[in-house]
Amino acid sequence: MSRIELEGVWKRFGDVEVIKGVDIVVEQGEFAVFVGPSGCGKSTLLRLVAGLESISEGEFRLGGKRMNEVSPDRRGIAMVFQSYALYPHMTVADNIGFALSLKKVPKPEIRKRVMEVAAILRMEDLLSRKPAELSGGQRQRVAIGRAIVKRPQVILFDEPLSNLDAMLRVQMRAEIQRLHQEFGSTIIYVTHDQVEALTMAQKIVVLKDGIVSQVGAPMSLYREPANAFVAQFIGSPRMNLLPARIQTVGAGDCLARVGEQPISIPARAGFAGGDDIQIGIRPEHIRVGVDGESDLDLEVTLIERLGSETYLHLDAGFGAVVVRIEGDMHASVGDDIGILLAREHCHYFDGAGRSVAA
Amino acid sequence: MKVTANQTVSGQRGNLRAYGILLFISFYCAVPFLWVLIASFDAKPGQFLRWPEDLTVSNYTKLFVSESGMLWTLNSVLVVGAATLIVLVFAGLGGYAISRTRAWWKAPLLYAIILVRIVPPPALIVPVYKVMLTLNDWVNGLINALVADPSQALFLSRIFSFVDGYLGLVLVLAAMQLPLAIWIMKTFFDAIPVDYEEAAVLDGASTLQTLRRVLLPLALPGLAAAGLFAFISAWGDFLMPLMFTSSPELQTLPLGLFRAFLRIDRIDYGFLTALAVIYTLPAVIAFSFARKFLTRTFSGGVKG
Repeated sequence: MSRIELEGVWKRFGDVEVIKGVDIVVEQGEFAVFVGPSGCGKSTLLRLVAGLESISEGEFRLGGKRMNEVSPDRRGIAMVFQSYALYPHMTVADNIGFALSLKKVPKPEIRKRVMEVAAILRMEDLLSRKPAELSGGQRQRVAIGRAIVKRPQVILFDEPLSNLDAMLRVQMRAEIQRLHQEFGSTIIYVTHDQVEALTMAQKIVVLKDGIVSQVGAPMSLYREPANAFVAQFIGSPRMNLLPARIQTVGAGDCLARVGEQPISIPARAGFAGGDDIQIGIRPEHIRVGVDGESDLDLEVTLIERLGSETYLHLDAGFGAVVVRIEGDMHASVGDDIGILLAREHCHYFDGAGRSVAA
Repeated sequence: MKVTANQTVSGQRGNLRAYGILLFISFYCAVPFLWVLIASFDAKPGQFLRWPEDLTVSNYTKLFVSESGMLWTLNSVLVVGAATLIVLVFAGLGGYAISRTRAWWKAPLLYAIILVRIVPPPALIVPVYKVMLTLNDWVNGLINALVADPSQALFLSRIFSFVDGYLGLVLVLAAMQLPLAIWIMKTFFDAIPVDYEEAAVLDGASTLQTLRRVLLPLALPGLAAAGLFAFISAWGDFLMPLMFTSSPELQTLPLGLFRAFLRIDRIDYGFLTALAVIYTLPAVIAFSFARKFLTRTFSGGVKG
């Protein structure tokens, strides 16, 4: 019923191409998160699905039916705006019931459904207030209430938590997930925050410059990024990328240089002497060498102690390499330390940033 | 630093001086109005401010009973009210359209609109009169062709004529006020996020429903401001009624006041001041009415 298919979708504003041939499938009842840096087209994509923008080329199907020409209110889609967009002249109850009153639903029925929604969102005592009298979190709740009262097949969220403080954000994240489990609607959730994506999504769509960079389950994106962009975008702190040049290719290993320092890495199909590659490794997969064992020797430039863990920032010439260490560590800025890269967790990206498979 | 008794005293003295000067200026500004108000109730008002020996409303009864004060007032209210209504409708819709469009001609159009406002109205008299005269010939030709009865034709002509008719005066007054009103509404709509409309669209509202149930309530303070400026400015307009009406039946308050002042025999200050008071009242009422909307601010619908 509410399976979302985007096929070869383009969006152009005049000469500017914002969405460049996107293919995405969101299964019925799935919680999909569109994530990417600002300007990647994720909000535009959401607006195409909502019907607030027209699709320049390609097809959007909902439950197998072509939706390109269907007006927004007939798509069975509700949207929660980043700005909430609560009607300021209406009370909370009127805001939530507005869509129903437009459909000429009888008043007692509207009241009943508004009360239901208010109960679900725990805001029965706010119903007679105006939006101006609500806190940010309460406004967010009303905005969600306005969406779910229509019992839509699909709910779209456009960066809904970006205006809330950190604690409320965690709370609302849990709330939205609870609602998803309760209602089973298909959800598309747009955010630039990869933490929200990792914690909430069943499926993440990473967008960059109007194209899909990678689609997958959160942990599969974390473990097997398809390219250097996804590798760095998903996960915090981000993955270290070490530029390296292949020197010689052997039977099982090849020898590469990171800066001036030689390092041996497993050979991959397509590696040849003189190739420029990037070695990707997450901070938790780097170990500080003891007794002189070391892949690379680097200087400590910054130490962040968080109690349960410590982050070392090392100067690698091309930028910083971040190392995560359990607990505390005795080191000081200016020290030279040797680090060891866990080879089984290393990712290799070719000159174009594509992941090179084993 | 500690404030010494001396400093407080000199501070108080400074305050006193400031209030004294302010009081004097206020009084100076208020005196003409005061004179008008008092003289209008004076049986024998003179040129100077004085407390009347006999308080009377005879000036007002004269205005409304023996002179055509009622007609002038009705004409003014009718013409200016209709013009304001037209201004509100067109400024509301036009301001909204201009605010939302992304077309290349947006900026040129806006400046062209304000240019109309920059040209001094007397400079427009000749071309506007020419246009109105042409339209007038056309509409009167139509009336004469359609209506046989001369008294009926005269009645219709009084209403629909572009020169010496209600319609012409209403349109001219509205046209004069429209540029500023469109600018006010455009600026006002710029400040209303498009999110509200999009939310309404997703809620299933038609264009008309969005307009009536979402945009109009949000635009009320802007409409109040635009309407107030239009009403007060049109109410005070003297030139256009002078140019486009000649029949005594169409005379408006400012013309009545002006012509009463020009009467050869004697200047009747009681009558003139009563007329001036009546002429001032609607503007004051309009202001106090619109103030409620002007100060009503909407907030909290979007992130703040």
